[in-house]
Amino acid sequence: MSKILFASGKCKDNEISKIKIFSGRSSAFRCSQMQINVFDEKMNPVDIFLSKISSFAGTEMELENLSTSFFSKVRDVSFRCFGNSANQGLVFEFFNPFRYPVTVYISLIGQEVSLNLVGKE
Amino acid sequence: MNKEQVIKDLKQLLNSLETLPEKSHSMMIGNAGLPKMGNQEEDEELQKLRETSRDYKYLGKEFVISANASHTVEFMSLVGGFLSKFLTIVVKNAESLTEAMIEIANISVMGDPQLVNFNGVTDSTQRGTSFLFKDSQEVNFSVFGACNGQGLNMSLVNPNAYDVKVSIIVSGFNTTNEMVGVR
Repeated sequence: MSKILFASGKCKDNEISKIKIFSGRSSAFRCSQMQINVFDEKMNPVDIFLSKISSFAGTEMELENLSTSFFSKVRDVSFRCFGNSANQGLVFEFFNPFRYPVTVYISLIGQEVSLNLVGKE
Repeated sequence: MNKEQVIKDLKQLLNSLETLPEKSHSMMIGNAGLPKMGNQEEDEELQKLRETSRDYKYLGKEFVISANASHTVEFMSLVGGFLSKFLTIVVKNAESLTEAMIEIANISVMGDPQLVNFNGVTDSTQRGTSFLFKDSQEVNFSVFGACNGQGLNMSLVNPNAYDVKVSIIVSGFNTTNEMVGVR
């Protein structure tokens, strides 16, 4: 049964920004679907670049500046389980090519699993 | 204290009163009960409903959220419990009726958070967007009830500089009263 995990953050203009996502309370999270939406200051949808997704276990996706528009709809993904403590999270690296800051909203859909599974498939 | 100082203080007080935020809707929890873990029978019944039932019921609400304001909405079943399976949120600019978005700060049933990463504070780093629910997203929320405080509560924030019209449809199945609060 799938659960939803939300995260959001600001990406400064013309910079690479990292957004860390942690699972909740007393469980790890296995993500199976993902959606990313990016908005400018006036809340109009825009596209920036997603350069890398990494976790406790290493690199999950080396994307070399993939446009976030690919993830504007829910896409199936397969990341290793991530946890709720420092360094156990899922780290997203975005490059914002614009001259203004943008807000990134990440929606993850997946399952809550045991903390013993952090870093595992 | 001289007269000028008193006038200055009064002006300052008046300014601070004028900048107070607008009243926001608040959630009231009375004797709604407590969320609970279902026993094996209840879990199996919910599983069966989720997987095999086609007897869909719909709950819908439409409202306007002012620019840069927050809003809490509570969905309650008509009678008994309600197991939600799909959630759809359609947001439009209240004037131009073009597509818009709102932030979802929190979703809870009887105080029990339904979003995984909820840390007790609906801060801006833990908000989602209504775009996820644009095309009916499958959800797995606790069964909610028909009384005040037993409903499905959603805290929404409008980050836009304009009013938005929000339509929310929860589709799912009717359950018994005993199921209320079971995940």
